[in-house]
This record gives sequence, C-alpha cells and structure tokens, in this order.
Amino acid sequence: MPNRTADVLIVGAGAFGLSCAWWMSKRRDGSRILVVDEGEFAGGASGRNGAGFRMQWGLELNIRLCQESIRFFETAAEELDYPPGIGLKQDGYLVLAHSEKALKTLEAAVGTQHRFGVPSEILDPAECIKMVPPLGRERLRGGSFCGLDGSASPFLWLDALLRACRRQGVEVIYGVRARSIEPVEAGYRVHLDDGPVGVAKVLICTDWAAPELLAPLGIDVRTEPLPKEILVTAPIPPAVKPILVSLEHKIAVNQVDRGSVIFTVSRARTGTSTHSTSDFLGFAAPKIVDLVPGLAHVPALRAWGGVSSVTPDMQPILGETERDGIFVAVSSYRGFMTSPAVGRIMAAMVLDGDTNDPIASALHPRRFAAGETIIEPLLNQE
Amino acid sequence: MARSIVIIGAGPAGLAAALEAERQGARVTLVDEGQRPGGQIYRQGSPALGGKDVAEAAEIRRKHDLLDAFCRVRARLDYRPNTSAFALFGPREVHVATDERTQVLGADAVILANGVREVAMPFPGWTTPGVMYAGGAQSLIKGQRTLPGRNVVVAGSGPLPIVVAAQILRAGGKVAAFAPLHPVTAGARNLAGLWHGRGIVLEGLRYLATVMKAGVEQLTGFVPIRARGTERLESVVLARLDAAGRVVKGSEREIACDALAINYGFAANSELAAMAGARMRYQQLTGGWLPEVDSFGRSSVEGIFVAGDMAGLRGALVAETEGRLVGAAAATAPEAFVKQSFEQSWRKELTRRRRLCEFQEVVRAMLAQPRALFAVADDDTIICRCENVTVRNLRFAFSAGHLAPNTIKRSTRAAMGWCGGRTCLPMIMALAEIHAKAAPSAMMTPRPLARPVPLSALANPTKGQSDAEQDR
Amino acid sequence: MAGDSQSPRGEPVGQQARSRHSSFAGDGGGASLNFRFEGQVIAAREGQSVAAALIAAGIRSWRVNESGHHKGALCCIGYCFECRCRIDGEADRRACLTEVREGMRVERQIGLG
Repeated sequence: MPNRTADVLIVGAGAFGLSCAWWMSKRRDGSRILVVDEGEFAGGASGRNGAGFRMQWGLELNIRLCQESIRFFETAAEELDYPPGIGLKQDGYLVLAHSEKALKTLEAAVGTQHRFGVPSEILDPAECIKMVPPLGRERLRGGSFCGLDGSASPFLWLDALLRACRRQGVEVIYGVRARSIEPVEAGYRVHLDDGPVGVAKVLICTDWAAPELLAPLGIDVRTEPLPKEILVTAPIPPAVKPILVSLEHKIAVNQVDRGSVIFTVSRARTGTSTHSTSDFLGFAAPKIVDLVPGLAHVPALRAWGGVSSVTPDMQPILGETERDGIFVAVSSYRGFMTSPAVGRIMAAMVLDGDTNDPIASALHPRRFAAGETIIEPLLNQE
Repeated sequence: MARSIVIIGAGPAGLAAALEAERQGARVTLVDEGQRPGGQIYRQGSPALGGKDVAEAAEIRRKHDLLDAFCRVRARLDYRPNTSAFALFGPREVHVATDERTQVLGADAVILANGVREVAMPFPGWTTPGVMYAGGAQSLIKGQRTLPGRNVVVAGSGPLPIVVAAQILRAGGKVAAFAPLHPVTAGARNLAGLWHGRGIVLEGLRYLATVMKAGVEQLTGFVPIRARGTERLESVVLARLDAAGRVVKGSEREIACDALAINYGFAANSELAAMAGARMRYQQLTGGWLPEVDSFGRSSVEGIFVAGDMAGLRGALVAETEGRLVGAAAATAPEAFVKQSFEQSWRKELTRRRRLCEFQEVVRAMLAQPRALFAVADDDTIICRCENVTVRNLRFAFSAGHLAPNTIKRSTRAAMGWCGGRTCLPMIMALAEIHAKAAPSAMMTPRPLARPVPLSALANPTKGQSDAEQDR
Repeated sequence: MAGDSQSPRGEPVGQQARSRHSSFAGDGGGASLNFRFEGQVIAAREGQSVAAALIAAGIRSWRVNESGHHKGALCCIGYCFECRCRIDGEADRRACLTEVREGMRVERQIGLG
C-alpha cells in the first residue's frame, strides 16, 4: 500500500487504544484514525485481568480517574450503542486487611476518599464475613468497602468499543505489528508489518511494550512488564457479592454475573508470557483456600496469564513525549478500569493539544527524569 | 537406568504402549480417567452388573487378549484409574488429579493416548434430554448394561451408528429408525482398502445384518432437523438436505422416540499435546487439530509421544499396533534411538499399520462431513451448552470479525464453561468456516485445566514424583 | 456373578462373553437396590451409574439450567458435564460417573445448584 496515510496512528487495540480512538472519532472532526494491534482481539492485558473497577484509592488523581470512568461504564451500553451491555456489576468492592498496619492504611484512604465524595466505609471482620460468607476469619482485621465499585466484562467492553469505533470510521486492524517509527518532515512514517503509513501523530498504547518502539527514537518510557496469573472456577450460585482484594494474599476475587469466580493472583515474577506457569496452580490454590475457605470445594476450570505494566511509581504515564506528535498512554496495571477517562483525556491532548487536564499534567512521561514521584498509599500495600 | 514413562489413556493405544514399554524395561505410570481399563472401545462394565457383551466375537477376542495381557503385567505398573491428567507442561511434567488430590508426575517420556471424543451436528432441539451421542448410548450398553431408551433413533456418519443400532437390538432394545448419512457402500470401490480391513468389514457386515434382519427402517441420507419435547424427547424429524443444507421439500419424516443417538464425527482430545507446545495441524475428518508426529509417534516436543486416534482417527486396530511402536520408541533413550534400525526391527508392525490405514480410507468415505449439515441449526439453536451460546450470538461475534476460536470465545463465552469447549468447538469451527469461507488457521489456545479440579484438590498436592520416579 | 468379579483381569468380561444370559435392565444382573430421585423411590442395580439408573427408569432430565433448559445425559462418559445434578446434597455431581448406591438421594439441580 503506497502512500498510506492517517492523521493519528494508535498502536495497540486494548482498552486504552480503543477508548482513545473512540473519543477521537466521537468528535467527528474528520481526523482519520488508524489503530493497529499485533495480536488478536482482546489478546493483551485488557482481556486478561480481574475485570474490577474501584474508586477506593488513596490519591486524588486515582480517585478522580476512576470516578469518571465508573460513571462512563454505567452508561456505556447506551453511549456506545451496544445492546448486549458490558456485563456491568456494581455490588461493591471490599479491600481486606489482615494486619493492623493494613487496616490503618485503609482507614487513612477512606478519609481521603470521603473528601472526594466516595461513599466508602470501614467494615469490621464480622461485617466482612456477613457480606462474603465464604471468607476465612483467621487474621482478618477488617476492610474498606464502597458499593459503587464493581466489575464489567473486559471482553464486552472491548467489543463495544471496537464496534463503535468502526461505526465512526476508525480503521482497526489486528495481526499487524508496528515495527518502527521514522521521523519525517511532516510527522512520522511508521513501518507496519504490511507496509509504511505516513501519520501526523502517533499514540502508543502498547503498555509494557511501549519502550521497545520508543527507545530507538531516544524516548525514555519507564515501564516494565508485570505478569499476573488468573484462575477461574466453574459457575456457582452467588457467593462473593462484592469484589474482594486481599492486600496480604495479593489476590483479587471477582464472581462475575455468569457465576464463575475469577482469582487474579500476583507474585514476584518477570517476563511477558501469557501462559500459565507450571507451578501456578500449586502456588495459588492454597492461598485461595486460605482467603476463602468456603469456596474450597469449587472446581477450577481454567488458568491463564496476563501481562500488565508497572511504572517506577506504579502510576500511569499519560502525555506527549519529548518528540512532538508522539504520545504515550501506559496503564500501570489499571488499564481496563481507567480506560474511559484516559480515552477522553488523551483524545483532547492528541487532537487539541490540551495539556491542562490536572490528572494528565501530574502523570506526564517526563516526571521520572524530573525526579517527581507520586505515591499511592494503597498500591504500595499491594 | 530404567526410563520413566507416563502414559495417558488406557484404551488400546495406551494399553499396548504400556505393555511394550514395560517389556522393554521402562517404569510405566498409566493414568486413566476410567474406573477400569479398556478406554471407550474396550469399555468394561461394573463386575457387579454382569450381562452379555453385545460386540462382535472378534472384537471381544481382541478386547480380552489385550486386557488379559494387561492384567498379567498390571502389578508391575503404576496403574492409576479414576485419575485425570489436567495439565501438561513442557516438556514432561504431567499434572494429575483424583477427586481429592493432585500430583505432578515427572517423566523421561510422556505418551498421550487419550483418543477422540464425539462430534454432533446442531439442530433445533438437539439439547433436548434424550438426544445423546451414539458412542454415549453405546457406553450405556457396554458399561452400564442399560439401554439408552425404549425406542431409539440412531443417526450419523461413519461406522459407529451401524454398530450402535445393532448393539441396541442385540441388547433387546428397539430401534425406531436408522439414518446413516452416507450409504454403507460409500467406500466400497476402494478394493485394496477393503481387503486390508477385511476382518473389520466382516464385523461391520454382521452388525449391518442385525439391523437389516430386525426390519429397522433405514433412512439413508437423512439427518435430524428437529427434536421435539421439553423435559424429554418425544419425537425427531428427519429429512434430506440439499447441497446448501436446505431441507428437501417433502422429505421430512417425524418419528416418535424417547432417545436419539447421533454421531457426526470425532474430535481429537489433543489439548494436552497443544498445551505442551507440540506443533499441531488441522485435518477436519480425522479429528480436527492433531499433533504432528513421525512414524514412531514422536511429536515436535522432545519426549512427548502420541499414539492412537489422538494422532488422527484410525480405529482400534491401528491404535493397538501403533501403541506398541510408540511404547518401544518412548522406552528408548533419545540418544539411542536410531530411526533406521527401529524401522528395520519394527518392519512388520509398520507394514500392518500402513495396511490398516489404507482400510481407513474406506471408513473415511463414510465419515465425510458436508458443511451443509451446519445450516440446519437456526438462530436460536444452542451451540455452547455450558454457556448457552446460540447461533445468533455466534453470528453477532462473526459480524465484528471474531472468527478465530480465541476471539469467538472471548466475545461470546463459548467454550468457557464446564466442558472447556469439548462439545461446542468443532461445531463453532464449522460455523466460522462457513461464515469466513476459510478453514480455521489457529486452534483455541489450550489452557490448563484440561479437566475441572476442585480448589481443595489443587491445594492438596501429593509431594514427590510418580512411583516410577521414586523407584529409580 | 460373584465368580465373574474374581476373574483374572478383575473384570467379568470373559464370563460375559460366554454367558448366554442377557442382563439388561430388569433382567436381573446386579443386586437390586433403591435410591431416590426427587423423593421418588427408584429401583436400580448395583454397578449402574446414576445416569443409567435414571434412564432405565424412563427419566431423561435431571437438571434445569439457568435459562430453564432441561438437561440429561449427552456423552455418558464424563467430559461434557451436561448430566450434573445434586447427589446426596452436593451440587454438580456427574450422574454418568457416579455409581448409584442404596439410599442415595438424587435431586434435580435447578440453576447453578
């Protein structure tokens, strides 16, 4: 394809890439938007996560990012004209503490949350168990709960975005990799698997893979892969109403609408494989049984891996790089839950040059070089 | 030092492989989901039930010979019935589970001999209780001494429906109608093939004679287009289809029955091979996604071998012969394995397998699965029974370009349920193939667990390796 | 039949092959026993699976799924998971793999159990 061009090339068709594309196309300003993804639909981290969203954070910017995103999820089916719906479930999110120190952190965070209107509260162990009967009592100190938090199906969310993008004229191509970016006079020539494309602006939404594409241009994006593994059970009657996250176990638990319980398990590991590791089941099952002994009898159906990203301060990176016209959006492992707000912010930034958004200005890519660090108290616990 | 071999599946391929590997001095662990050895073809009922075997005498002889031989060495093997292999990690780490416990078995070689499963064609009402696989109906007769119904319609392709119809009759049951998709003479022009399989042909003819003699109505070329009933099957409508899968006007026949036994092909249980990273190929007629193997069952992953139908549907005789070849190869250290000398010393078995495979060409002519069959399902027909995914849901996914098994799964939940897609995937691939007008280019990424295992069993691992390993 | 179970392969197949007696449902093979399905007493034979015993009794459905569809046996050998039902109070037991026992309580599973 000679002389192929677009106004904006988005690399990566995950939750960030597609949400950014949708917000851009929504303006109907005639911009030609092309999205390429080297994998298949929902094959990256956006389709491989615990599916939860929460506004229970300890830092204003994270609270705001998620509040906005959750409001969008609530009306996404209409907004994106997606009749099947995105599998929204707002039965709350219970962050569990198994030590006094963890409980203190939750209490402090709830104080912050209340300042921004998050209806969260601290529950004692008995209240936690009343809410989630299969929970283990041992060592449980309590938790913080917010009823507006919940989950949606990442697959349906991505499918809804994909269809809405295409309806609005965005071209989305899977199975095509962006190999390199070459600066040219009027922007960039991006070399794709199937030939070059000339574009004015590039937005990199490949998360942990962003440095690989940007380093040759001298752009320093500090993010690393963060592999996680997931185990899902057979569908069972409702047993875990809110989403659970245990700071001690490093496990998130989400019983989806369909009845399956999804356990997202973190442990120190490196690499970018999405395959289950051979010792995962033996590692995860005892921890799961310790966390929710009431579910011990439930059969596990499937396990798989997902590779998210993490930045030095565990916060997203959103903004224009030191190269004009090259933008980056790195999730730092909350891509799914923040994607609606990130899409809006990045669309405004890429198309209008709007850099006044207070969230984006805190999350700009050059903060590490400038020695700025953002501390999210809850994440440093996990 | 004796080599340790884990064999998965105790059908003819697995048993023959176990016998041969043991004979060559290997330490063998034989893992099987069944309560008793034999697999599907040589399924044994509970000793408590007794009852007569309704199979052909020659088949019973083969079964007894193999099972007797197995009984003689059984004490020297680590034989584990009621045990599922639920994961295989590269290169040779087999994860097994019983109801209560799990264990990781390491081995020098792993032989996958876990066969094939049945494939249905979807049609309105095919999820009505009473509609079952023909092989399922057969397992009730063989293993349970129980008839699948009082009045059974048998329909499908290949030789299995003939056998099942005959066995229902021999067990004292009634067959309301027999609807072979292809004429039983479909492969009859292949004389060489027929000659090589003459013994089996004879057995087949005897089964056919049972069906003819009973005066069962034969509806050749008819397929089920609707099953009626809610809580139980009441009747089935059979009809002929044109090349596009449309019902030939006036051909419909409604037949009252309380069971419908169907089989429209087989799919290889190749998930573990793929999970271990073996190179796969697609061949719809012989089982879909199959591991690539050489003449001694060696897959692309060192130490992972495949024997029997899972390497391509070829029947029990091939499975048993191949089991011996693969058992011998697996018992030999890779550095000592010289293909040419192996081919020399196993010439007889290799020739026998080749000839039996020629006979399989005859069988394959009866197995042809026209894609038109898949046009019978309407929008409301359920394809994924675990997750209630209908043809309509699938077409919605296809419309966004989700045509690969992975993306269909993500966008519809098909294959995410209890059975892991073992029932629906072959049908989904057929529907996607029709939509895309192209054969599938990728299989669904196989994930552990190949079988559901309770969290408590996963949290309760038996430490250490297999007995075979411990003995070393 | 007792002799059968002592045969060398630990199985009765050899005896069966020589047996002239059919022992299909009602023919007397296997000691008879009683179990309950939805409270109703059903006769079965020792060694039968729950699925086989229900089918022999003319019952085809023993689960109603979340969408209201009736479910019974499909593969009969354990991999399709269609025949799940409630056995002795426990949900999601496969009827085709569970041997029927005297006094067993089998219930139709409704929804997710």
